[in-house]
Amino acid sequence: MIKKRTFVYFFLLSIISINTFAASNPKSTGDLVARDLQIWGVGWAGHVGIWTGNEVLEVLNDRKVIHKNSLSSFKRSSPYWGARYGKGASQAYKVISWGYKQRYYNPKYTTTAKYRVGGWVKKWVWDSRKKGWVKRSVMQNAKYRCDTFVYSSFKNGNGTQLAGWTITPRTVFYNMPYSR
Amino acid sequence: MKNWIIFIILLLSIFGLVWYMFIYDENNINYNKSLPPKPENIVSKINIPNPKIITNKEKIVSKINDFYDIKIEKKEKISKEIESKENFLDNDILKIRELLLSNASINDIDKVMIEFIENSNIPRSDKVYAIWDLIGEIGVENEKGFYLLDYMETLQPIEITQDLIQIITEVQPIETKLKLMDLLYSSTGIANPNIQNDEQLAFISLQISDIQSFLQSKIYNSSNEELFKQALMQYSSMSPPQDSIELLQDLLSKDSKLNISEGDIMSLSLEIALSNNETQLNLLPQIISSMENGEYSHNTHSEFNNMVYSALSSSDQMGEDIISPEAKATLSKYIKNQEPILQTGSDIQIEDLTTYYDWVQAYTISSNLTKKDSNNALALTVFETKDPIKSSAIILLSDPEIMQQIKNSPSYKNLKNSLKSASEQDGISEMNKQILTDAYNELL
Repeated sequence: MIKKRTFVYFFLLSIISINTFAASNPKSTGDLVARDLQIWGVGWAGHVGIWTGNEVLEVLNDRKVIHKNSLSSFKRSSPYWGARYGKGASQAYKVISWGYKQRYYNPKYTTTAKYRVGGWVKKWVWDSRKKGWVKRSVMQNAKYRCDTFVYSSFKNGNGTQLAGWTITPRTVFYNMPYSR
Repeated sequence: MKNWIIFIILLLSIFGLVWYMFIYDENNINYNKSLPPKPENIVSKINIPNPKIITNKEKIVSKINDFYDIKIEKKEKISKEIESKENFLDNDILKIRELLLSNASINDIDKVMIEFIENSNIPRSDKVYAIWDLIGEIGVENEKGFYLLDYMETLQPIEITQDLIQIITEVQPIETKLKLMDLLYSSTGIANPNIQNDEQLAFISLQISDIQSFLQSKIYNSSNEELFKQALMQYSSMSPPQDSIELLQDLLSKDSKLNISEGDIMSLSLEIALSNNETQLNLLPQIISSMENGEYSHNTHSEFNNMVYSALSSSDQMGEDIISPEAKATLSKYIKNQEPILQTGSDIQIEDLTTYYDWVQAYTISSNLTKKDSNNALALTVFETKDPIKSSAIILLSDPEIMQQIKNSPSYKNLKNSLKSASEQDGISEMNKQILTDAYNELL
């Protein structure tokens, strides 16, 4: 006798399988790809990355932070949502280039929606010998979550806005109007 | 094949649905089975003894000597001045706490957190103490604690320097120590002698001196490589160049069990050399000379170039260039000989295009050209280079003004044709073909 639970599992598995098979691959540089990702147990917030033309540029929660991975490894990690396009396609290379260069600024991972663009800044430092303040240039670390990285890369790369006031993987992904 | 699989799965799903609706007998369900165990409560996971109390001090007071005192001082001050603001603060922090302890989505918590951080009705200091209170309750050795610490970074909480130093000393996991050190370092950015008064500056300078001493102790006494490296980088970035130089020289002269990597030495030296006009004139030529003499590995040399190119195109918050005109002249001679080699026979990646474009751009900037002349030089390079991939790099990564100049050139049609014919060559890789086609399309 098939139990109700078995039926539910069977049905859900079918839907997930359909989703995975039907979810399309990216076609052009600057397409967005997304998948499931759970952030500290408070829900399936999702994970988003940018298609470079042959790899996925993405931010992961590890020491390296900014990665380029194959699409197959991106899809293997968790249920894949698909690819979307339609905004910022012109000058998409500038988006990838800008995002990739954030690696120079010793990037750090954050789970918050507040991000920090890496770069050179001037900072006041305390000179304890001279008992005075001096201004000097320092390198500011970059700090991102996957969605804020994509958002910031598009914004600074070619001026495309992929979210309004709140940045989430879902809002960034679905800001691209069309599904592949 | 893919369509067939989807079709079969869809068919099976429809069959399953029909079976469930018309054949399956719900009365056969056996209700005599045991219930599944209740999911573990999130509150018990983060070990909060009494969730109804807003500020559970016990945990944090045991670790921080004067945490309670600071809070009392702050509360008294607020209640005397603007009582309504305190309510505002308490309501917001209550909401954040409630969301953090429930199964709320991170998106919902982000929204409330950002509203709170950016609320101009609540003084920054009060936000610092309120979040610090919450961290005291949630703890620092879990992801939710990390989440709050990350938001706290945006407030540059110099007020809690002593508490942070003590906690960093007491907590065990390296990951937590590093996170707390990031927060400690962030607070050093709050100093601004143009805005703050003498009393505030005196307080900040005292805290910063303590942070410097603390980081020095970590540099000399830590046995953990990550901790050592982070302390070294942070100490160097928050100290006058002379102090950073002395520390680095001292470390390099000693036989330390923790080695500083070649990449880190370069990175630290360059940051010190770019500190101000004086160091750019005195120290930068020394590093350049080391690079030219092949004293560094290929990878470190490339990293150095990337960092120099990024600094060349950077300006500070006031729009002043990071690198002075005099230092640009020194760099210009060096950069001229650094043209990257593009292996056009193999797959070109976007970072290869970026490296080439950044080099061209850095060379024009270091030549101290005006913006207009710099744009002209970049546009001219597109036509002068005989390599269509190099032309593509400039076309795909340039600003719209440069693109316009390229399109206005009399050689524009020839350029388009050369890109098209290059993309149609036999044996060209898919990636290179895509790059050439995309560059061609940008010109349309």
